[in-house]
Amino acid sequence: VLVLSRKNGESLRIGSDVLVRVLVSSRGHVRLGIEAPPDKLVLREELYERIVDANREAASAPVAVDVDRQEERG
Amino acid sequence: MQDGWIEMTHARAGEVRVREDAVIEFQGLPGFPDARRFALVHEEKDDVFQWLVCLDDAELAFVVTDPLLFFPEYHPTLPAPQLRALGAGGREEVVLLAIGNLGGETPRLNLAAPLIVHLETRRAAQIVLDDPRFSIAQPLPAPTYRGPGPDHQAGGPDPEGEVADRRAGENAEAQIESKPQT
Repeated sequence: VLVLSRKNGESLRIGSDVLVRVLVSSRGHVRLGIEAPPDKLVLREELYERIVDANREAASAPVAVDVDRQEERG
Repeated sequence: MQDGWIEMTHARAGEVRVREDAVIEFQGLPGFPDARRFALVHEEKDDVFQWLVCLDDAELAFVVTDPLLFFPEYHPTLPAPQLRALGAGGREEVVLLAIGNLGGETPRLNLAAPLIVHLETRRAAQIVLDDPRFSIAQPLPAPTYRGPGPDHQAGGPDPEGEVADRRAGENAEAQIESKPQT
């Protein structure tokens, strides 16, 4: 893992098209401003992981929903 | 194999035959970064669910549907930069689809991360709405439907989807407030 120190207002660049700026940081809380092309997905990691999990689950879930059984139960 | 057609035997969707000009291009999806070429296939013309089959991976396919069939109030704001990234000038140029998970006790749709497909360029993406109104696993209102093939059986849905629509409207109100943001 690459570790960089940045002060408020300073930024870093990832490749030529992604810019991450530290807007405010205090007491363990950091606000970041991110400039990236629209085809780059920028998300909180927790949310990204949930989408990954949902996609993987959907890609392996069985598909035959038994209509009769559903109706019986309902 | 005929010119202009792609044929494959797919582990989930069975025999697949699609025209080359119907191929939809993704730049990967979360969890599947290498999945690029997909096609929509269905068994019957009025199937509620379709297969979104990956043409690069004979085991990867998603069940997708028009979310409005189940949740008529679902009108998320689609981020303009992401529309532009597909080459779309506006929302009306894209089709919105939701990935379904029909396994388990409760069939559900991912309304938090829908798919947008630009009809003209055939480019597509999974977008993430990051809006607490839209669930990543929104249960489908009953009655529910059989998925698409290979073990598809005809005669499931009423063709107009009226029953589902009405019930979806009742159930969905708490979760999805109707007005599109402007």
